Amino acid sequence: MSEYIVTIGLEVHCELKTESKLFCSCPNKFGGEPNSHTCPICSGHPGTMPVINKKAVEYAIKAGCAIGSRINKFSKWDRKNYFYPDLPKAWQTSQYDLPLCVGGEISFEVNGEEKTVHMNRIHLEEDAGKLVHSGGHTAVDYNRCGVPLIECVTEPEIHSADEAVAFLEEMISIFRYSGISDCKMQEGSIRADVNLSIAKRGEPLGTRTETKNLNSLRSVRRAIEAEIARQTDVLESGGRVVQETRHFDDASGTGYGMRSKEDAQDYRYFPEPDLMPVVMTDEDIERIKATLPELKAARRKRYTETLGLSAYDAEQLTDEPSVADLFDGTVALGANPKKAANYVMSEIMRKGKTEGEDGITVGVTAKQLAEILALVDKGEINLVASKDVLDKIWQSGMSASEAVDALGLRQNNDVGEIEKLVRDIISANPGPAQDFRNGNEKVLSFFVGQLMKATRGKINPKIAGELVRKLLTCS
Amino acid sequence: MEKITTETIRHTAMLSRIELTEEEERGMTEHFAALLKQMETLDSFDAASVPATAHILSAVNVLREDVAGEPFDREKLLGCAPERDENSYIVPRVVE
Amino acid sequence: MTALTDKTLLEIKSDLAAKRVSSTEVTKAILGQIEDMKHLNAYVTVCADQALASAAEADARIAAGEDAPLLGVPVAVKDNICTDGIRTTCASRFLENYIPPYDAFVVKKLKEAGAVIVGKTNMDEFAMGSASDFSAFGAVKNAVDPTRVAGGSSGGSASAVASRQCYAALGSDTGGSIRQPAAFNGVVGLKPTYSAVSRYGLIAFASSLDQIGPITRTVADCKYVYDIIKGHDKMDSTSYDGDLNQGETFGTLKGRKIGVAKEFFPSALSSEIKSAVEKAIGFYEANGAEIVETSIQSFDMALACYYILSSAEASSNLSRYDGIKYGKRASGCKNLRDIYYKSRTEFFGPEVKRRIMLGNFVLSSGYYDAFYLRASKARTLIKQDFEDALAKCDALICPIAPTTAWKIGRKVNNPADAYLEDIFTVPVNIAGLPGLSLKCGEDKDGLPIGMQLIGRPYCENTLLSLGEIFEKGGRA
Repeated sequence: MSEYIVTIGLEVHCELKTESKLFCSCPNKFGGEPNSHTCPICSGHPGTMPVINKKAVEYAIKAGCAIGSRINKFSKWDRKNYFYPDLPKAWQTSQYDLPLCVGGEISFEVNGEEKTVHMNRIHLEEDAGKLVHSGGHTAVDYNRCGVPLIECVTEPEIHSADEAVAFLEEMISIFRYSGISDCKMQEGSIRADVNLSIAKRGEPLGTRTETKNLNSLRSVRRAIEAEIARQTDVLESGGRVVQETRHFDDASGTGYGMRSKEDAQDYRYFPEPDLMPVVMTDEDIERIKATLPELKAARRKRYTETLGLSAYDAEQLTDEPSVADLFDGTVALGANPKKAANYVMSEIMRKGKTEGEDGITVGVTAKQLAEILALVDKGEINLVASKDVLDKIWQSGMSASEAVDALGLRQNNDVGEIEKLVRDIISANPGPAQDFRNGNEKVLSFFVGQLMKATRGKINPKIAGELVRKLLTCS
Repeated sequence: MEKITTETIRHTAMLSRIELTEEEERGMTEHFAALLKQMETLDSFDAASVPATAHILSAVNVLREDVAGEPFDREKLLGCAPERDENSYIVPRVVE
Repeated sequence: MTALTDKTLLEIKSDLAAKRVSSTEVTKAILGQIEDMKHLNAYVTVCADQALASAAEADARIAAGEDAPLLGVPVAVKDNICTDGIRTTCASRFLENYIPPYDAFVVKKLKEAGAVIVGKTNMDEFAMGSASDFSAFGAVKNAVDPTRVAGGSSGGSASAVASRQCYAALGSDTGGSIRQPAAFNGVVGLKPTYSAVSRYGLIAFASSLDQIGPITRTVADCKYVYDIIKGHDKMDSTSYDGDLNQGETFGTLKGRKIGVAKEFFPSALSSEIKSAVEKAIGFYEANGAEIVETSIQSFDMALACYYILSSAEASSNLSRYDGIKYGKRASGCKNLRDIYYKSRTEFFGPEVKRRIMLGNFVLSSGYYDAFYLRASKARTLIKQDFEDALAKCDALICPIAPTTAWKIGRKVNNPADAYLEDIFTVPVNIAGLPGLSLKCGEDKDGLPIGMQLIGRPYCENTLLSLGEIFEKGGRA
């Protein structure tokens, strides 16, 4: 099998995170009852007309800026005509010869090696509706109709399933960091089409097939592997690969050819007469570019090189943009980077994962977190108590000091008071006290633990430890 | 200008999702031939030197702010459908 | 005394405002006339109950001292303009039962102005035709001679206005559909500059050419209605957001230049029509205007350019009729293929099918460059020629159509020949310009002959002033 070279190009459809749809003011929201987010425009009623959502255009350009595309100063809209029940106008408003973004590249690491894939283009278009099959019928839901999508087309420079998946992971991270899309595969907000051909080394490219609508990284991997195996079998047995559109069935793990020749793929593109072109000046493009945050790769580099974090920590912290933003914000407010990193990775990520449904939900602001860390640093609360503080903030949104007071957790640093407590605990535990005097140092932590328990963590453990040692030694 | 064949008419009918009887096919072939004759008037200029006009207007960047509006009465939309259930348009089962 | 229905829109408006007559009386008179003129088949739908309710409301408002530009005035709307709650068929079996869930921009404007909408006028199916005989509801008859066609595609609107079945009607014009039927019925029709009137709610035929405009009995009425329906609409991305009164309003012809392009008077033009238009040119000259010779060299290409572009856009615009979301679905559809093929084959008429076929052909792979793209380039030349010609004059004058209204059922050798009917009107849509159609004479059978005034973009006032001067001079 290795004698064949695999050539893959991806077309990635990614829904943009706008408030409203691309051409009408229906909400761009996942879920909801069928057809509850529709109007005469996105249902394709006669006489209705589209008006372009400005934010969607900006997001598409932002995506282009994030991957180094050239932004077309003059970009226009075209109709892609085909009949299907999920497409109420019977054309998809898209961009044909003058897309918003041209070129660009995405670099990523795969199996320890750096790899760059060039982009062909990014264009803006509308999503289609959803078909739900049951019994002898299909129900048509137009909620998703008109949701803004960017279609990102790569050059055919990907050569394995590993590369395809690593590329997608990097693209998803870039788009999520850019704030233009949630890229939630399980909600279908990002989907990939795989164009794949194989050929013997040194021979011209083989005939390609297109496997459409893969909606998880796992399906992308499996579909590519299955298609490579299938095409190899075809060629090995002396057959010819037929150019076709294929569908991959996740349940069975196999692909099959889809459309009959009825559809012949003649989309009869022509300029959309109902929409005027989009013209961008250098200033417009710069303005949009300026809204791009620092992306994952740059942050990872900064965390290791400037903040002195380990590569592992940098990777952990940058996995979720919201987590990285929290970390950066907290450090910017004066927190020690290593302490902040440890706290974010242990407490925030643990809590964010258990409470959120998918990904990580961050329930504190950088300001709140910086305050918690400062309180710990100053010894006003200890790490154990800080978890309760975090919980309180997460639920109530109050500031760290308010939460500390509300919980009555402010740490007791009064040596006189603590000494009294230590004396009590020693006289209540004569056995362990004797053990200590007999040379068992471990008993010290038993006493501190008892003290913390009795005071619900409110005393300064350092002071308590010193006093226990002093009093046990003197008496 | 090239000749219009029955094959072309059939392909065009397929793109149009229209069924033609044989007689209609013949009529359509003649109609197309006559039209193509009229269209020869367009051969009189050098297309390479003339830009296309997609819009007669010069306006650009006609955009709206990204604000979600009130939902439209779904019943009013579904009420127009030839076949529906409680919340969806219904077609015979689509096989991919 | 003039019968109520014989009054012009402005006359009835002033009668209503002065409470000399009530809207209910006027509306009843119009509904009576509609009944009497039923044989003309000008309406697809008459909404008597809604009209009387609006009339009663208007009467209450008038009694309360309110005023609005069309308060209580009965008007009609072409049946390809969406009316919330009133069926809108496009004269197609496909939309026989379609009740739009919203009002077109112009309908909102009419309602805001207090108009009483009496009904939806008959037309060629999806506005494709020049005679209003391609209607699923039967041919419209000419108000002057009911054995003849009303012109098209806004034949119902023109026939209704001419036969006093409303005081004004809205039409739509993609290649002459307001101007030619107005001329055939001897009334006034204005196709405004592309983008001057919102198309939101106009059921699209060819989106880059379609435009809504008024059909009325007088030029003054035409201006009055145009001023109500024009204006920017944020729902139509092609709607003009600038000054719509770039043309002057004037009462004398001194210093005005009227252009005559030789291409608009081909040798084949009937002498009756030629001489009627020449007489109008003579009138303008005699009354102080300067006549300027101009040329539209690309005139010959306009028809082919129009049929390619309009059909291409139509093929796409009409793909949405599939028997799924609205309109009708053929019976006995077992699968998806049936839904598309059976519904579209059964419910589209022959002319609509021809245009959809042509449109899909010129856009299809292998033919796009030779047809669609070439036509888009011809459009550049045609637009440029008009710009050049109109730089030298205030307006161009020419005939509306090469013939007057023909007998219903006239046999046409080939549908392509019928398209020749549009040669004088389509260039104006291609160039996006305003065109005014008004009567300038009669042929030997007493049928109206129409002339066309073509102006610069957003200079409707110029055309309307020229029209009004001619109308008054003609009467005097």
